Amino acid sequence: MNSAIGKLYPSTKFAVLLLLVILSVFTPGYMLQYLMFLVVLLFSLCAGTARQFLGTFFKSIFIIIIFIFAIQVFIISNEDAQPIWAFIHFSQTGLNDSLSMTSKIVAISSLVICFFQVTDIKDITFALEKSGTPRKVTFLISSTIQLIPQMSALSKTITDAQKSRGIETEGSLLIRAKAFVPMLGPLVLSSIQQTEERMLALESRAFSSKAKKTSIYEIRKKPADYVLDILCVAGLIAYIAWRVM
Amino acid sequence: MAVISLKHVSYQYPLEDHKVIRDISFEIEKGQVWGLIGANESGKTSVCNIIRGFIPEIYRGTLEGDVLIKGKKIEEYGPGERASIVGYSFQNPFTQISGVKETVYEELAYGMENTGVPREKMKEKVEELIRIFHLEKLRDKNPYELSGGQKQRVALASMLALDPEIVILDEPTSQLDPKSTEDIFEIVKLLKEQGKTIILVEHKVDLVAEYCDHILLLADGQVAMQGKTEEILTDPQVLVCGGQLPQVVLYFLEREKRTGKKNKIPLTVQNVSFAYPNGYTAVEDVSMAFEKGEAVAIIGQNGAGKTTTVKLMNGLLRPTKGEVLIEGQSTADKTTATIARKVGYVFQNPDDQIFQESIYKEISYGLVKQKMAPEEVKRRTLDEPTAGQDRKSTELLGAIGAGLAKKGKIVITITHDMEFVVKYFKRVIVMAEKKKRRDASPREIFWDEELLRFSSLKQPYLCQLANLLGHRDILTIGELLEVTV
Repeated sequence: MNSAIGKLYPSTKFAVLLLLVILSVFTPGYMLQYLMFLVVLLFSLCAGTARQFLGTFFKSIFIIIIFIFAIQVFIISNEDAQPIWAFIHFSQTGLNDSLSMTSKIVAISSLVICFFQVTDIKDITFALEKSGTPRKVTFLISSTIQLIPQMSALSKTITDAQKSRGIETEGSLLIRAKAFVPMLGPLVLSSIQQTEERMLALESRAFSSKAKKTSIYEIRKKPADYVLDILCVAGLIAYIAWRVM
Repeated sequence: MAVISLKHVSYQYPLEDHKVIRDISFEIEKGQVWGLIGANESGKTSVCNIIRGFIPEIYRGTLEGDVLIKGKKIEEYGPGERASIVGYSFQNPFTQISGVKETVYEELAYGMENTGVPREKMKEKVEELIRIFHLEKLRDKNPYELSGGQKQRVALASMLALDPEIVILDEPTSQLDPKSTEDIFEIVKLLKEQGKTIILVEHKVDLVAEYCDHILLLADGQVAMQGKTEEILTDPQVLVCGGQLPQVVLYFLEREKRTGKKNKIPLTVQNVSFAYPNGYTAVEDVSMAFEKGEAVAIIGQNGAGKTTTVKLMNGLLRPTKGEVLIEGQSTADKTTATIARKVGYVFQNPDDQIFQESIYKEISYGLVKQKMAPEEVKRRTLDEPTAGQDRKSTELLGAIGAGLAKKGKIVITITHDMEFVVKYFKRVIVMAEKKKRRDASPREIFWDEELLRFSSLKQPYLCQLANLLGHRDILTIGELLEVTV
């Protein structure tokens, strides 16, 4: 978050994200959308998050892309399907459809992944609260993100407890799937129980207070933010005008 | 006016078929520290939830009677307002973290953010809390990554950021190790000094006895006993009502049962502090108790407060806080000469107390003045008696002390002679920086290297030799020979 991109105000980065998503969704074809992936990669390089970005993209979105291509091109039966072997065939229509579908998925997902990698949740929360978002909403966002690693640690503790009781958790996929079920109950129950205590703890911190909230943390918009905001609005107007004409 | 007042309060949870609290009434004055004790399910947490306002606002159910906080009904306070008046901390350190802040620094500010405290004031307050709660090394850490004891400290500090006048601590140490427990009780002590009104729910009744002025014992949802700590926690009725008594009290009750003799602890020093008129504090919050027939060594570096402490015992000095009790009676209204009949004192420098022409006259002087026979003198204090003594004299002094203890006297000796301590004492009290640091056997003391380092003390030479030879917990030549030969 120490890069020039990381230091931009969250709403500025969101404005850029929104503009590029709109461009990706409403521009016909697939070249711009695939190009967007390269643009995002460039942003990530400038922000110092390229490795993270590529890691997340290839572990998640890439697999979906491959899957769509495989089904559309080789499995779904179109009029121009050319048989290869058994039920596998090649379809140009399928290839065009998958390019169109996947290009939008690649563009939008790349933009969203990059946004969250160059923007601290703390900054997002501050910007949301400053814009008038109720504290309960920002609390939901922040606590969910913070809670994920804690839930993961809790599930490991529960798994260890189950192992100590003789439940087999190691071995084939079927054994591990079976072990998943007895882990769910305690995980859900302890989460519910913890919710009650956490609620009391929040009340002890005046969570329900009607006073105007303040923040010990602060970020401010800089001139670069204002310039980018103006450019995004201008860019959107220009794009709409071009599409209409 | 009482800050907390419950009058004929009863409560029933939704879906329950009985009342968990039945007709409870009590009042707590400002600055008092109340221990709330009782068996599990006796209603302690429910009482805390009522005072805090969680009942009935969050838990619903049926609440009867009057609950007044600072003279006003609890429901008349707004939700955020209550947090600023009544702070609440409970036993699970994990669930007391807000879950929305990435650092301890921000976590401490969370409550103040919710109540609209300006940024600069928040920063000041957070820095103050970090200093008081020793959180310097943790300020940039994620609260979730802290240990249980650290989380509990952060949770307490976060709650106190709102500066509530009333603090409720519901079993704050139940999931903590002894060191973390001690840290939390240091905080309780600090809150007490700040004049906060505290309600402490704890099963560790020995600690409750040390820190609380008053006790409220609940049994089956009702008040079974309430009153001053020293009255309640010495009454065996507490056990009948499902409560616990401190170990010391249990010991004396058992001894009374076996010997048939009523016990009063012969000499007790209770939370005494002493400051000179120029403001210099020589002793701070020291407590110790001595039984008949005990020979106890008090050790510590110069200036640790040893001599001041023993002078407080015999009335040469009077505590500025706390009290000294002889056979359960305070010495506050007794003259030094009267106390001298029970507590004898031998000075460090023999020249300071010898002024007669002959030994016979010297010995009989005090007894004649007090019209007392020797056997009436129950205790003697020997202040650094082996300083300047040769081996034979040292052994003679040690033998005299042991002999007195055998006769049922309490012999308290201040000494720097660690070998003397090992040979003649079964109990050692270490003092350092005006406080009592540890009270244990010589073996435990002289092998507690951290304590010795902190107190600028050295092990007896034999222990040092044993250490060099790679052996621990050795006190005597015989023991060392056993492991080396």
